[in-house]
Amino acid sequence: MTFGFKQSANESFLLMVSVKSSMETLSQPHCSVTSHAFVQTTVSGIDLLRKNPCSTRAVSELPPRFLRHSDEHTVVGISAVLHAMNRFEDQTRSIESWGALAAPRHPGRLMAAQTLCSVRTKGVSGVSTQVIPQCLLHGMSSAVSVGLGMHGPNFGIGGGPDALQEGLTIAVGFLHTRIVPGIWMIFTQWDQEPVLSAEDGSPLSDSSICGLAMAIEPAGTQPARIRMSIDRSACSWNDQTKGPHARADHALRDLSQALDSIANGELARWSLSSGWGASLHVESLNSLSSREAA
Amino acid sequence: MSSLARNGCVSAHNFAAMNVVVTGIGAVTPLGHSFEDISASLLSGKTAIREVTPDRYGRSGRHFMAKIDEIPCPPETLADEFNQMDRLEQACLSSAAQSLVNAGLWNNRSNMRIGIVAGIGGEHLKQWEIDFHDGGTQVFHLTRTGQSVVYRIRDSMQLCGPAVCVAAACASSGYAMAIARDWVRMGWVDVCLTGGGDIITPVSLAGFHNLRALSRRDDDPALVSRPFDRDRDGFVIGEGSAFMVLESERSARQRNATIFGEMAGVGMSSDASHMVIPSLEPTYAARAILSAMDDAGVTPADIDYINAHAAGTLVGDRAEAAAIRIAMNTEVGRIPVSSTKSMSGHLLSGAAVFEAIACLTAIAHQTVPPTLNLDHPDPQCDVLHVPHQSRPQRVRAAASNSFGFGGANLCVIFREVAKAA
Repeated sequence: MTFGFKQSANESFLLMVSVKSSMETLSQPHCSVTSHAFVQTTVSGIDLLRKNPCSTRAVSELPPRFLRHSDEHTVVGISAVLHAMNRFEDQTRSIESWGALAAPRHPGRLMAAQTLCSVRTKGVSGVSTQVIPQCLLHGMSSAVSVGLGMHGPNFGIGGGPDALQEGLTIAVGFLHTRIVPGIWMIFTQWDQEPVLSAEDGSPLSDSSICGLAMAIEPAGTQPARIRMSIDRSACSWNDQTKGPHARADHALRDLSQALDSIANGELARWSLSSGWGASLHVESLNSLSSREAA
Repeated sequence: MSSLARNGCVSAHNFAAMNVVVTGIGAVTPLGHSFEDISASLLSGKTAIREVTPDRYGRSGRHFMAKIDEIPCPPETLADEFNQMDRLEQACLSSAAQSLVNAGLWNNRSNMRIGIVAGIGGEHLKQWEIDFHDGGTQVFHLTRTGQSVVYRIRDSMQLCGPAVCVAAACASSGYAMAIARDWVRMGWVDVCLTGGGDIITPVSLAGFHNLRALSRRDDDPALVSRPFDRDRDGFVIGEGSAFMVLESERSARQRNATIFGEMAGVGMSSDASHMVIPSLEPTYAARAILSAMDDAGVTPADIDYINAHAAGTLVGDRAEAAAIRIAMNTEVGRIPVSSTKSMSGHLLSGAAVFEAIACLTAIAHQTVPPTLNLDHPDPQCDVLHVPHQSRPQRVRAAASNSFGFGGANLCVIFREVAKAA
C-alpha cells in the first residue's frame, strides 16, 4: 500500500472558472483547493484499509466498523479524505456544513459480480441488503457524509469513464453558486479493472485502485488556480464533439502530481479537455499571472 | 432568512438575477408520456400500479409495481438503432428528445449550446445485470468501457453542451435539476435538459425487497401504495423517465415559448445519520425546505402546495411530516400536502423530476393532486392532507421534497409565471 501525497505546510490552490465568450468574460468564479491527498492500494490491501483507513493521526474518526460493507471505491475515497483532513493547517476546523461530491469510475463492480453469482445459485433472496445503499453511484458520497457527520449536500457524479471530467465540471461551478463553506471532491478508479471469477465474483488479479480527495473552498489569496475556459466557437456538434475526451487512465494520477508540485511551490500545469468546448486547467497562480501579463 | 436556513444552509447566491423557467417536458412514465396525460392522470386520481408477472423478476407470488410498457422512438432515430438500446437508455432518450420537441427547440438544437444533467442512480449495475442475464461477462471482465447513458443521449440528439450524470439515490433527478438551473444562470449553456430515470430489474427489486422497504401487501394493487396512511407498510416500486427543458425567462419570452413555471428555488442538505434510514431528527430535512424558500425569496405564506416525497414507509413519512411542520411553522395547517407516489409508485431516480411535473400540474390547473388510499391518516403525519380526490385551489408556488438513501435531502420550489401581456 502506498500513500502518494506529500506533506506541505502551505497548501492551498485557487480554483477559478472562466466562462468566456468570444467577446467577453461571462463569469469568473474562484475557489481554492486547500488540501488534497492521493491514496493507492491493491485488492489485497483493501481489507487493511477498511479496518484502518488512516494510518496517521486522524482529525476525525469514523464510527466503529463503519467501512465493513463499503464498496472498495468508498474505502479508498474515505481514506483519501481523512489523509487530506490531516493536512489542514487548522486541525480544529469544522466541516459540519461541508458537502461531499464523489466521482468514482465504475463503483460497485465487485459487489455486483458477487451478487449476480449469488442470484445464479440462490435466486434473488441472495441479493444483499447492502447492494442498494453501498454499491450504487451515491454510495461513496453518502458514506463520506454519514461517516464524517457532514450536513451539506452529498451526491455522486459520473460513474463511468468520464467521471473525472464530470466531477471537476460540477465542482468548479458548485462553490460559485452555493452557500457552502466547502466541499470534498473525491475521485476514485482502478488503474486496471480487476478480472473477477465467473464462479463467485472474487478478484482474480491484484489490481491497483487509487483515490484523490480535494478540499475545495471559496477563494482566498492562494498560490495556484484551477480554471475552466469555454470556447464559444466550439458550439457545434460534430465528430470531434462526440464522445468523451478525458478518460485517460493516468489523468487522476497526473492531477495529483500537479497538485503536489504546486503545493511545493513549483510551477506546474495540468489540463483536461471536456469534449464540449471547455477545458479545465490546474495551474499555479504565478504561472497564470505570468501568462496574463504576457 | 431564518436562522435555521442560515446555519449551514445550501441555497443559490443571487449571483445572477436570472429567472430560470421550464419550457418543455418529455416523459415516459406509468402515468403517461406527456405533461397533459400525466396531469390528467394525477388530477383524476388514476393509479398506475398493477400486478406483474413475477417470474420475470425471479420471484413467485403476487407482485405489484408501476411499469412502463412501450417506449416511443424519438424523432430522427432509426427504429433498429433504438431497439438495440437497453430500456433505461430508451426511456431517457425518448423523454429527453420529447422535451426538446415540446419546447419547440428540436429543429434549432444545433444552433444552441444545450447541456444535459441526468439523475441516474444505478446505470452501471443495471447494465452489468442485463448483460449477465443475456449471457455476457462484462461484470467479470470489464473490457468495454463505453460511454455513459448521458453521453449517448447527448450524442444521439447531436447536442454540443456539457453532459453529466449525478446520483443521490431517490433524489437523483432533483439534484440534476438543481445543477442544470445553475448552469443556465451562470451562462454555461443556453438551454439545459434535466431529469432522470430508472428501470426495474430483478436485482433492484430484490435489493429493496430484502431491505424491507417495499410493501408486502398482495391484495389489491390499487390499494398498496398508501403514503401517510396508518396502514402503510412500504413503497411500491416504479420505473420511468422524465426530462424538462430549462432556460432563462428572458430567452423564453423572446421566442414566445410556453412557460410551465419558474424553477424558483432549490435547497439541499444531508442527514449524516444512516446509509438507509432517514434521520428521526427532522432539522436537516427541514433545512433543505427552508433553504429552498430562502433561495426562491418566499415564505411559507407564499407556498400553496407541497408534493411530499412520502413513499409510504413507516419512518420516512413521519420524518418528512415533522420536517414540513418545522419548515412551514404556523402556515402548516393551511398548505395542502399530497404524495403522488400513491398513484405513480416510486420512480426512484426519476421520482424527483416526475414530482416536479406534479407541482407544475398543480400550478397549470390550479388544482392539487390527491394522495390515494389515505383512509386513516397516521396521527404522527399531521399535515393538511388531500385524501382520495384532487382539490381545486389557488396555487402560486409549489414545493417538491425528495429524500434519498444516504440522507440526501432536496427541496425544489416552482412558481407560477404571469403570461406575457
